[in-house]
Formats: sequence, C-alpha cells, structure tokens
Amino acid sequence: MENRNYFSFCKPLIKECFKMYWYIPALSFVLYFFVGIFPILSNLSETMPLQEHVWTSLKNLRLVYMLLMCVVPIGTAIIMMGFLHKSSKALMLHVQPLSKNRIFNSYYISGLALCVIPILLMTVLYALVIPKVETVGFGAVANWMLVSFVVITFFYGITVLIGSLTGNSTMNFLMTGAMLLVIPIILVIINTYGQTFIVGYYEMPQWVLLAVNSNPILAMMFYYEGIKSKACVLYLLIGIIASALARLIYKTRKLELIGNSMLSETFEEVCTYLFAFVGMSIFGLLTWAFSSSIVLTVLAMIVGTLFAFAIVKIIMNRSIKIVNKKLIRSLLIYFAMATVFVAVVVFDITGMTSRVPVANEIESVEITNIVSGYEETSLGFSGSIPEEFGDINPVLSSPESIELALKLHNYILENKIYTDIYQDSTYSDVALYDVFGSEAYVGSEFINLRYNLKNGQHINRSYEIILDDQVIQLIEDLLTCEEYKENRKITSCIDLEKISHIEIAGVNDSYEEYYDEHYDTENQYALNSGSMAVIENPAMIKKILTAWDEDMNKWGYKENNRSLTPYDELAYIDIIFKIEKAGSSKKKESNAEAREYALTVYITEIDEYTIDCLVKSGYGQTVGVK
Amino acid sequence: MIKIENLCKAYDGTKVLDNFSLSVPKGSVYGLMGLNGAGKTTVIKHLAGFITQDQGTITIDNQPIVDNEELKARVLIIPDEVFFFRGYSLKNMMGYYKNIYKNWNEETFEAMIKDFGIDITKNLRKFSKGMIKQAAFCLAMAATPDYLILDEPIDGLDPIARRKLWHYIMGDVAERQMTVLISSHNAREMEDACDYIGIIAKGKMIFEGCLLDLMPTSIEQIFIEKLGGEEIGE
Repeated sequence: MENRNYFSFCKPLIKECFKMYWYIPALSFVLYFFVGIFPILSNLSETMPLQEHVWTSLKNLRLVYMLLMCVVPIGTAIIMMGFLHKSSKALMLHVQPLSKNRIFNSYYISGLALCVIPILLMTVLYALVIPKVETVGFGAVANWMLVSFVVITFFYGITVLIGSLTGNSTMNFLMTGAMLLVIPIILVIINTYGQTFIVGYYEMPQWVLLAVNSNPILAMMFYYEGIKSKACVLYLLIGIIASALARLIYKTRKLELIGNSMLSETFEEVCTYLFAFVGMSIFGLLTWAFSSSIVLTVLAMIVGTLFAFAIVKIIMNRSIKIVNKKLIRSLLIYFAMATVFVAVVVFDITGMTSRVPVANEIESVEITNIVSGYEETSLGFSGSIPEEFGDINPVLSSPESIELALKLHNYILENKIYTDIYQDSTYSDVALYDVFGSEAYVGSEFINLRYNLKNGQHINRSYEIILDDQVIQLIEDLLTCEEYKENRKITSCIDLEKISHIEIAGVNDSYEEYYDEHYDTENQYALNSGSMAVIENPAMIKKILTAWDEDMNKWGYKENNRSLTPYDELAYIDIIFKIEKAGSSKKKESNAEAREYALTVYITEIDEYTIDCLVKSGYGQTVGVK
Repeated sequence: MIKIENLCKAYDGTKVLDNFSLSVPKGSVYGLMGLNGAGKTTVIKHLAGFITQDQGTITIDNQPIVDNEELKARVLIIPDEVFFFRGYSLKNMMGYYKNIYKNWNEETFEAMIKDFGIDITKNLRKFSKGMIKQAAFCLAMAATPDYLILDEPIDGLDPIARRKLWHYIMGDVAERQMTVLISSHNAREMEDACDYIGIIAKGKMIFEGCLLDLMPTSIEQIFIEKLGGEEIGE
C-alpha cells in the first residue's frame, strides 16, 4: 500500500550514500581539524593568545570555517539531489520498493548528516582540549555546535529547494549562488547609489542590514561577530521551511519532467533584469568613481546593461543567437524601469533630498554621529551594549530641541553647506577653542538626523557639513539645550541597576609600570582584568558616574570637542553589566562574555568633578593622586 | 496479473498513449512489440510507478503501483537505460539489493554470475552496454520477483547471453509462476518465448493475441502486416 509516513527513510540507501560520499565529511573534518584543533595542540599560544584563537573559531569567524559552513552544505545538497535532475537515476530509484517520501527523506538526511558529522567530531575534540584554554567553557563549544548546525541547515535547505525547481545540477549551483548573493549584492548596490548620488542619504539603513542578515556568512563577515540566538532561530526556520517546500514540490512534481526546469519564463525574465541591474550598476558606479562625469556614467550604465543582458541571455539560451523581438521587448521594459530608477536616485526628480518635515509632524528626533568624534566624547563613552542594558542614542522630543534640529537641518539645505557630488568639496577650516583657549581647526563635520514622525514613518538624513560660524552656533545651541544635555548623561542612558561592577584603571606611565610588575602585559585579558579598582557598590557606582556626567555637562560643542583637542587621559572606567545566560556557569566564562558588552568611560584632566569624587572616595590613585 | 485499462498520457499536448489497454495473466510471458517511439517505454514507466497516467487504470494484482512499496518489492523492472550508483561494482550493487529486496537469493546470483562470466569486483562503469544489461538481469533475477518487466532486454546482448537470459526467465516462469512483460521489436525472439503478444502503434494497442491461437502465422508476419511492412517492401 502507499506509504503515508512522511518521515520514513531507507536505511540501505542511507548506508550507500555514506559509502559513496564518505569523502565529504572526511575532507571537511581534516580542514576543521587543521584550522581549529591543530593550533591548540601545537601550543599556538607561543605566537598568539590561545583563547583568542579559540574564541574566533568558536564564533565561526575564521574564513575557513565560514567557507566550510557554506560550501559543504551547498555542494553536498547538489550531489545528493542528483536524483531530482538525472532521469535514469530517478527511474532506477523509483522502480525499487521505495516511496517518493522515502527516497527524498533518505537522500536529504544522508546529505545533512554528511555535513554535520565533522561538526560533531569537532565538538568532541573541542570538549577534550578546551580545559587547556582559559576563559572558554563547554557552553561555548555547545553553542558553536548549534550555530554551525543551524547555518548548515540553512544553506542545505535553500540549495535543496532550488534543486527541486531547477532542471540540472549546474543550474542548481548557479541559482543557489544567485539567491544567496544577488539579493544582498543588489541591496548593497542600491545603498552605494544612495551614498554616491543622494544628498543627505543615511547610510546603512535597516533594509541594508536586512540584506546582510539574509545570508548568515555575510552577516558574520559584516559584523565580525557570532550569530545571535534570534537570528539562529530564524535561519533554522528558513532552512526547515525551504526543505519542507522542496519535499512538497518533489512530491507533487510529475517525474517525467525530471531534467526540466520548473522555473517559469517570468522568473527567468526577473533574473535577467536583476543581473542586468548588477551589470548596469557596476559599469555606472565604476565610471563615476573614475570620471565623476554624469554623462559618462549614464553611458556606462547603458553599456553595462547591454553587456549583462547579452551574457545572461547567452547562458540561458545556450546560443549566441540571442537577438530577436523578445530580447528587444525585454530590453525596452528594463530600460523603462532603469530610467525611472536613475531619474529618482541620480537626478532626484522627486525632490526627496530637500524635504524637511515641519515641526508638528515630528514626534521626536534622534541626533547621532553628530560631529566626528564629538558624539563619542560628548556622550563620553565607547562600546556597545544590548538594548536590555540601556539606550545610548539620545531621543529628543521637546518642541525646543525639535525646533533647534529643524533650524540646523534647514540651514544646511538652504545654504548647501554639505559636500555633494556636484559641488567643489574644498573648504577652509574654522577655528574652535578648547577649555584652555587653545585653537583647533575644523573643516567639515558629520551629522545624522532621524525624525520619528507622528504617522509612524521615519526620515533619516546624514550630512558631511562644511562648517561656518553660523552652523557652529546652531550645533552649539542644539548640543547644549536642556533635553540633549539630560539625555546624553550616562546615568540617563543606561540602566544602572543592571551594572555588575565597574573597573577603574589608570593609564599613565606609572601605572603601566605597575602592570608590568604585576601582570603579564602581553596578555590583553590580564591587563584588562587587573584593574586598579573594582567597585561593586551600586551607590558608589552611581556617585562616580554622576560626577562624570557633571563634567560632561560643563562644556558645549566648541570646548568639549575632545577629538580636536585631546586632553590627557588619566584613567578609564569599564562598566560591566550583569550577564545572566544559560551555560555560563563557570565564572571565567561569564566574565569573558560580560566583557563583550562593557562600556568604557574615559577620565581626562579636565574632568574635575570625577577626579574630586574619586579622590574623596578613596580611589585617587586610579587617577594619579596619592 | 498485470492490467492496464484505457490508459491515456500526453506530453505537452501530444498524445503518447491513447486508450491503451493490456492484460498479462499470472505466470505468462507477454511480448509488447512496436516500432521505435510507439509508446512501449512509456507503458513500462507507468508500470514502474514513475509516470502517472492522465486517464485509465494500471494495477498489478489489483493494486495501484504508484508509491506502493509492498507491491514494488515483488515487481522488478529493468529499464532500457540501466543506472547503477557511481563508482560501484556489481558486488557493491549486490550488497545494496540484498538489503532492499527481502527475497534475495544468493545462490541464484552466484550461479548466474558464474554462468554469465561477470567479474563482480570490476567497476560497472567499465562494463559494455551488453554486460551492463547482464549485470542488471542477474540482480533482478536474484531478487526473486513475482513480476519481471523488461524494456528491450536483448538489445546489445550477444546470442549466447540472449539464450542464457531466456533460459533463466523460462525457468522461473515454470518453477515459480513468475509473470513476465517484455518490450521489444525483435519478432523472432518474441515468438520463441512469449505466450501472448501485443502490438502498439502510435500509443494504441492495435493487436493482442495468444500465440497458440495465432499458429501457424508467425509474429513477424503479423508485425509487418500491422505496421505497414508490406508498403516498405514494395
């Protein structure tokens, strides 16, 4: 009778798959071993910190690890799904006492297992060698195993799905590459258009990040950090859904159509347009980069389009005879769409760049990256923390600060004091004065404005401003308004209750000597964790940070621009948050994880309140006062 | 019993099988004959459950074949284009078949291998077309099927191998009441081996009969007569 068990598989078939394709996990494991385990066994700590090597590996940030997690599942899926493409193989399998479910499941499971086996072996090896490595625990190894499995499932599932739609292995490979790379590439290209041609374009908006996140390897390379648990769940779901869809397609597909592409003509046409867009953009943007001539750029776009169209059509038709009515119709449709795109993005026919919202439309405004270097020193700290510990982007909602932001924005646009593609970017520097009256010269500054409108929409703008006295005054007014000052306080930005402790470390020569004597200075962790003072008392923490806020609030843009007139740094305060995570039971491991989310506050010679507070509280030696 | 009733199948709007019917009694040998492109392979692919019909019914022992694992375990089909796993020897394939078919008969396999003189350790990719067919036949017979369906089995076989093939088929038909359906365009071979004969042309069954009833007319004569051989002769 018909086999209705959706999860049935054929053990003999799986066994044969392992016999045939044993080299996949073998090669994969050898590479993993030599890149990940071998350096640990051969005491790599002689040349670089061992824990750093292990952490990089366990976060999958090694290029070889990334390649393996991507190439192995894609290659394996293409090999395993050969029965979807080769009619004689499909017939041979279907004459055997195997249902469609059983055939698909057996090949699917075999392929996935072949990809995962090296991960399991490596997990065992990591578990054996990890006691040699400080600051890394078994939780990190388990996390590595899970993340690797998720990424493999993602790539494997996508490739199997595309395999079920395409007619042969070559098309399977090409379409998988296109699916995984073309969408991020196109979004990055659109972003590049914005950065190049749109005045005030706010780079890296959410949708570009979305494009980057659409591929876990791209995300890891872009952020240079491990995949977060939420993203993991999403990638796993995508992998599972893609696999389920692939099986559904195979189950419902007529087997006599094996070897034929199931991709419709419309889909192929869309693919042609996407490739043409990539070709047009590469030619256009490169020409702009070399010539800065808009006429040449448009001409290059036309040439790039024709070139990409020709290549794609030759590949699809497997013939160089591609010119026909259909091609001309396709080209005309593409050129019509491209003309609209270029008119909006390059020539700004919609006037998007000059739009400034009116005050009563605005709910709040966020000022970020305001003035190169100022934001960091003005906010007064560096590092990044998850949302649960606080929000370090000041949001201004008072009518006064919104008015000041609009005034600044309008002034920038009306006087065209931004650098853009069509105007000469040479400008003369303007003098600023620090708290000691010393001069510093500034030419241009950066500012990002994000308007949160009452209708729920957002307007993002980013400018490199050419400074003049008037704009400096407008910036000064904005940065010294009550709401901005209040919001930029560290005690307002972060959740003080979630601070675990703070570490104050001196940075002058005498303390470096102190470290040399007491700690292994070649070891970064030893230096960081060997702070002069560790304070866990919440009241004391609040007192020190409040004193430091008072220092920050004394000055405005002109005087407080520490990037221009850097004052001597006496010490820094590391703020460490409470991390409550499963699997981090070992203290050494939780410390290492907590450090990822630390904020660092710098104490300079002009921070009188902070120095005074530290001295009176008995921590004077951290800032060089005995 | 193999039973096909009013089978219709079209590819891209072109009818390949048109109200095709066929019936193979249990324990008999049925020869399905026709010119190239007549639809023989399509009929066999339907019997393999590889293709689903647009209309009509296909049953073996009154059961539908598609996705029917229990039934397929008793039916062995050797397609015209035989496929083996990449890099496999006959020994490797035997290991797989042994696990797949519960009625696997090691003795039959050993005897046939010896008789055909096949090196079971040699990579099957290095086999000639005829040797591949012999290897597939050995595997099929050792699986001890109740139904054996062969698509152009004697294509590429030398006369001695052919003789052996028929010998084994007839032996199992006589001993185990195995039912056999063979597609071919070789009328003389069919005449020597089959109990029933069917001639397919342009997807339609144009002639079906029992060989005993047809005597003394030869199948070759009927074949030529039904498929326009006289016109060619003229």
